[in-house]
Amino acid sequence: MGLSVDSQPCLTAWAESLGGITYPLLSDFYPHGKVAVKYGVLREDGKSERAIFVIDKQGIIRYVDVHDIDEQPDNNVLFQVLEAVDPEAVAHYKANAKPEPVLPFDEPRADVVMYCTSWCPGCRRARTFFAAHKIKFVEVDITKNRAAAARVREWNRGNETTPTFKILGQVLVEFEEDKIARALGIKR
Amino acid sequence: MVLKIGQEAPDFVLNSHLEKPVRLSDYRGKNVVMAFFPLAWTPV
Repeated sequence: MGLSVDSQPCLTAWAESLGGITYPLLSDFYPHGKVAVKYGVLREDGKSERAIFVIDKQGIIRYVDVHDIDEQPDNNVLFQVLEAVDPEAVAHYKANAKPEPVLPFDEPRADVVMYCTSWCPGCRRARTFFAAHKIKFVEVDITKNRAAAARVREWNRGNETTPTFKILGQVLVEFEEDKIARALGIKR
Repeated sequence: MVLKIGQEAPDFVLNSHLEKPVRLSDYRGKNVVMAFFPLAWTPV
């Protein structure tokens, strides 16, 4: 389950924009951050920490990670933790897991391709930058193109990080002006 | 103070984006991953 201080309609809209989320996103909205406070993870700025708690079948906390808020925790680490907590359950999951269907995806043939969403702020900054430098680029909206999303996950350890660029054959993740300018051979 | 390994996870009930309330104690007998995240719409 995911938890944040966002309101329920906000979480619903966000989940939709991501193509749907099957596990519940819980709204810790009113009273503000009440559950985050109980778990000791409400920050002074009103957001919760990016924190993971694993709770076993008896309701006991078995793992706590108050992660760097600017970083995505590694799912492989979480998997190892779950394996330690309940090896039987993980073995059962592995035995029954259906492999993800391979969606064929032909990358657009262009020097500059940006894999993005309509709402991601880094993608917006990139658009402004490309416009300012009159750079032609092709956009692929990964919320609409799930085959492209699968490719982005391949490049990003399973995460749908946006923007992800393919510039002259090179994969670059996230918009940083210097990094992108260098890849394009632009002097700033 | 952040809760520690070995402590009982405090119970709660919250609304979810699936428009059904979720109570932690309903998950007794199952392993649960609680993933707190700062804000929707703010990618890492």
